[in-house]
Amino acid sequence: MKHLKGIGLAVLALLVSGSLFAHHGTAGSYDHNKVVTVKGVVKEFRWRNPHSAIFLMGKDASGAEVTYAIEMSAPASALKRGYTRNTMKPGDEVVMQMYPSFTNPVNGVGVTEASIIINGKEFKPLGGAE
Amino acid sequence: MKTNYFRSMGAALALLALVTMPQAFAQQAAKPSGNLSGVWLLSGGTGVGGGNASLSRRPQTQWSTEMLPFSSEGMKILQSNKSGKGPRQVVAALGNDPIGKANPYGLYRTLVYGRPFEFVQVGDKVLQVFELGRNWRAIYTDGRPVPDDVPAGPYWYGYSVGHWEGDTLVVTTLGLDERAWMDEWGTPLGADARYVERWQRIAPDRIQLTMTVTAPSLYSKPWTSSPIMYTLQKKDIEPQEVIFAPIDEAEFNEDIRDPAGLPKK
Repeated sequence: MKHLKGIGLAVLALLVSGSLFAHHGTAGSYDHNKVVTVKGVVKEFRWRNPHSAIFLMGKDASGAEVTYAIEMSAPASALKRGYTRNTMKPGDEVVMQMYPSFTNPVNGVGVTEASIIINGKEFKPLGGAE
Repeated sequence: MKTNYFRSMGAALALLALVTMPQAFAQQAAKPSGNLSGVWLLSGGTGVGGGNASLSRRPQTQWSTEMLPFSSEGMKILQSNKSGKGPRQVVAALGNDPIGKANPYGLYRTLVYGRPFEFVQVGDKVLQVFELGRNWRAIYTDGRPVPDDVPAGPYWYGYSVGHWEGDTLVVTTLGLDERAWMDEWGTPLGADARYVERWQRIAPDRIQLTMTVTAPSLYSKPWTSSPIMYTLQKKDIEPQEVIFAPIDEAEFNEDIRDPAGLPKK
């Protein structure tokens, strides 16, 4: 149910175009009309300006192994959402939503208002590209 | 123990100001008649910093609900600025945004970016300390005249002289480096521009900025911004370090921005 709640929030975020605050702009790079749920194992949680990022080892729609690169909030914003650099570590299992890149489907930006499931536990939204 | 970057930095700057204050100007300084002290955040954002949604529906610039009176030359300069945001947005990886290579944000872009800043009033000077870029500017309120030119400049954060009109701080800024943008959407600054800012505390937790821009190189006539509102933050806020260092920006562009925006190699 929590997962469904997260997806519902993702749809809400889609409606308000919630992840458009990246320092570089995201609307031209990511498809904000499409939400993709990705599952995988954390390869790296990059806690760094200008944006934090999650590199997630998972599978694509065809079942091929891929590494997703997902743009997230700047650390200063993520901190106010309750995250720190220790919230995720390599090996953690993650389920989250992203808007995919128009050009490379393994790249995406996090859906601003969607929760993230880390090792089965729901965390507040980490934010998109704030 | 709480660390407060703004307060410690403000204190250091205040000490510097006292040491370097020209006595001639100090004698003319008027006692401040207003109080802007505190940590402020652009109103209507996400509430976590980094958001400026309240300005997102404007037609041309984040500074106005109206179209600006660009001259033909000014319009060419506007069109040459390719931002990843706003009504003229392009794919970020194909733009020419100066911050894409970790250049400074500059003063006016910082003011509409949506990161907190603190006003620190110290004697004959008002300091504005920004989370974005971990930077600051000084507004001289010691009675010195506004210069016709800033030969030591241009500066990314300009040169600012202010005075108090009741509870309103009136600031004239010039000498801006025109390589910076005025906002997130690529509005140009103008090397010859003169900006007159009016900062007014309109409520205990709210200040309003309006600004009149005179820049013959860009506009056919002066224009005045729409009101920009800022909300007072809680006293225990601890602004963070938001420095976009070139080494980080390059890594981000290579791993995130460019793969997301450019055709797969």
